[in-house]
Amino acid sequence: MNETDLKDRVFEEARRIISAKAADAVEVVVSNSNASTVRFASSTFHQGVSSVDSTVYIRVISGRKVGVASVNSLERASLEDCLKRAVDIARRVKAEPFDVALPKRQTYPEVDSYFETTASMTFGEKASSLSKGFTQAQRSGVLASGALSTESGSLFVFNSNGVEASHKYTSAHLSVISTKEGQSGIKIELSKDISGIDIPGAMVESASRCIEAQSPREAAPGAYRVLLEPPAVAELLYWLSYTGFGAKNFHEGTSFLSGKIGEKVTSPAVTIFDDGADGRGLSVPFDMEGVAKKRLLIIENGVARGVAYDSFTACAEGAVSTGNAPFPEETEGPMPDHIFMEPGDKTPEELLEKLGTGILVRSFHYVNGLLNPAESLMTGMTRHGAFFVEDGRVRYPVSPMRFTENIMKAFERIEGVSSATGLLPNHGFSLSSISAPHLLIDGFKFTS
Amino acid sequence: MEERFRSVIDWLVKKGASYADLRREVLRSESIQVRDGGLEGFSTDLSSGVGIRVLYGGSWGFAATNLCFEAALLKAADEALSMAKAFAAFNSAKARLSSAPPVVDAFSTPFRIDPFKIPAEEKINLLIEVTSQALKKKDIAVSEAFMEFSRVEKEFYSSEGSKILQTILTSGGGYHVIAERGREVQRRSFPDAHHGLFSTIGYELFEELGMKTSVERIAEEARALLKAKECPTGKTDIIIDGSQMALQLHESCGHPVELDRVLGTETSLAGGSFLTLDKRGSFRYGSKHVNIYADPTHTGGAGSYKYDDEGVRARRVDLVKEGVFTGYLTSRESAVALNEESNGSMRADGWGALPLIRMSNICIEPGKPSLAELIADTKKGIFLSTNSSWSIDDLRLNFQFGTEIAYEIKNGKLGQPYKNPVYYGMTPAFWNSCDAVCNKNEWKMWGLNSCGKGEPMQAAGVGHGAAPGRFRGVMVGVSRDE
Repeated sequence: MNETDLKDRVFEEARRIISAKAADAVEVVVSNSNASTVRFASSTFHQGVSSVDSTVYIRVISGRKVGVASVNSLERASLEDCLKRAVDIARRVKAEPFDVALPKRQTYPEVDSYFETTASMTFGEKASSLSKGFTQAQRSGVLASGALSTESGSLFVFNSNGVEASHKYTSAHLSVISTKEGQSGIKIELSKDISGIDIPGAMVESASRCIEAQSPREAAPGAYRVLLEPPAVAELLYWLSYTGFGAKNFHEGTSFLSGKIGEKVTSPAVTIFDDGADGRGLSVPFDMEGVAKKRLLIIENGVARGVAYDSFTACAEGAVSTGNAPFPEETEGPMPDHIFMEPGDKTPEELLEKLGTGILVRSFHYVNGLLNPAESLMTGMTRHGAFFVEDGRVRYPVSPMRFTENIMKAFERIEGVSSATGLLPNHGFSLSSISAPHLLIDGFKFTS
Repeated sequence: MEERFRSVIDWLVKKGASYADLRREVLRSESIQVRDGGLEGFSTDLSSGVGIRVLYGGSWGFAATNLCFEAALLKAADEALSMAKAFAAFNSAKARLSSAPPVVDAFSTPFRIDPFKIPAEEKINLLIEVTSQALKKKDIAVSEAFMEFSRVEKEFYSSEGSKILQTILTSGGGYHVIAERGREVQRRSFPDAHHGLFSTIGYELFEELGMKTSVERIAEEARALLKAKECPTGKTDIIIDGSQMALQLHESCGHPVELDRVLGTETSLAGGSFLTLDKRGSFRYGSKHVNIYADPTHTGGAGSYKYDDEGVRARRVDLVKEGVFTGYLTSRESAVALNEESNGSMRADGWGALPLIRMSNICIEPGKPSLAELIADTKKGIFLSTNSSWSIDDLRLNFQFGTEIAYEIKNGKLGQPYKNPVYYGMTPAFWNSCDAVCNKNEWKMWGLNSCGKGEPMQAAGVGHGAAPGRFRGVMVGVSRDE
């Protein structure tokens, strides 16, 4: 089925389901995906995955009762069964303690996120481009591991309030880890358009970073001035978002922002927002309830401003949806999908000079933000290169170190934010991203 | 359907594939969440599709589709073949498969009560009762409980003649409460904090779990944490409970014995392993009290099955014997590096995913003392319960784990509770400091459904048979920002 036929089919089936009036309100969400991943290790292609799927979620509301069912088929009989299951659930469950309402019809921002270059790249072309990179990496004496993932797909949201939203997208994600004698270097690229990713160039940069990381020395645990590169910052932002930027955590009191809206929570250098319509990220025009994406200020110049809501948490808490609804079956609640940390005015080189003496961190590994979410306490390891810096110059690589740090307090000690940013994946669904700058932070605690 | 699947495999072999397999899965699942005595979500999902794996010219290809008609299957088969050919054109290393006898068999995980036949009202009412009971306690601000059930029906066919039908039924559930006083917030979970406990049994899980009978204790512990002192810092003896032992096994033994990590094929995401090939049979991983094994044949574990997703018969594997590292989890391809046959550890997260080496049920053998005896035998130390955070480096050496609650041990008795406890160390030194594992009466099969691995990320159900254990001279308490 080609793209046009598929869209026609989805519209026909969704309208048919909604017009059946099986409940007071009905919502149909459809996700079509054609995804592929090429994995390589030691400069050899060892795994690949190509997958085609279509999932239909039906949510029905009868009074205050809600039922959700899903099926990965567009066949009419399967959809009828899915609707029947959703209605059956809504009939048997207890009523929500609040009125629930689906969004009304609305207009969406113009978002261009489909690139034929990404959708049509063949395995042969991917393998050829990557293998050129292998050859260049091997000239540096390193081996390349990583993955190149692409996805093309479409999202549809319909409801009985008149919402009819559709969006076509692509994404491409390259992660390259170069290794030599136990050390590694990393390069991550994320884009809607794969032609914007220089695959061999990423291999060379990763290899160069791996060479720089050779022969590390031990650094003693303690508090250091640090310069965190965008992959390290993005990891912290992801965990801040997961533990604190969503309405569910916020209202149950486990978010470090709970009860602090309007209060100063970080350095004035920090502005964090979510905006799915911002084309610098992997943008989408609407959330999974069909609410238009817009800018949500979370922290503005160091002051807490808001958290992410979907229609259901908004109904429960007397708030307004911010356009952050996840797929209907998700239980973790709404969270920002397109996080931006506002850039500053310094180049990374200027920040390195300002760092003086401290540690330059390329990326973190296995960060965990659940130590004490109410305090944004996190731990994790440095990985793919950390470097001792003296007098603003990189002196030598250091072995992996573990940090244990209250990140909001660390963000109070930010001394510089770069103008350059990196776009990184957001651990969420394939159209989510984090735009992160370099951060210079004083007194960052390494504990082992 | 079987004839259609066979013809796809035959087509691949005719096109030059040296091996091909096809796996169809139909997954039915149900998820219920209750919060503060009210239903938060109830959903059901039905997902089905076919994954086709092919080995051509020593390189792999894999393609999956949700469509099962012949043209769609052939398209997926052609996609998998094209992928393998593209890789083979550049790969100098050639994948080989260790031998595995073709199997024709059928298997279902045993259960007593089919959870899909239990009325929704009954399930919801149990969760409502648990959360409502918790909310009656002073300071308890939030109480959430959940149940999840899945039934996956798998059909596996290979070009070597295997035909395996398996049905795996999984049930899981748990709850947590959040206590609040001012800005102090503390959480306690039951039976553990990793999204409850999962098991390949039926609804009888909820007869055995004790959700209702535990609420009083869990809520009181959450309240006690509100006024508890911070866990002290320094080196001390610790006893970890069964759920924390399960997490310790998972992170510091289960993952590093995955042979794909050892061979470098997971470097790009999760990392490698300190348990390199030269260490097998001689490396002192832990003390003589440490005996760890993998056993997918254990009934009821979250990682229980009879055949893996390469059609290899599952079996028990000794990983650490009397402290010495002895074995890996392997696949047909990786086992070639050991000159052995696969021990049946390949599993995929559904029809659309490629099988990877995964933990099954990673268990520690019980020792002699009861928990009461072990505490009585400890002059000074800390007892830690219920994992809350976990972090470990890419070689699985440097770890830091946090638990929801800890208690002082003083002169052989449990004392005051401590909040925000963590402990940390290096894997071999930690396991070598183990001087006791509790007995079989304290041993329990824990289970999680969310072990992540691979790209795209896959989640697997993993069981951990564990009992409390004691470790001497461990660093604790670095969690608080001073």
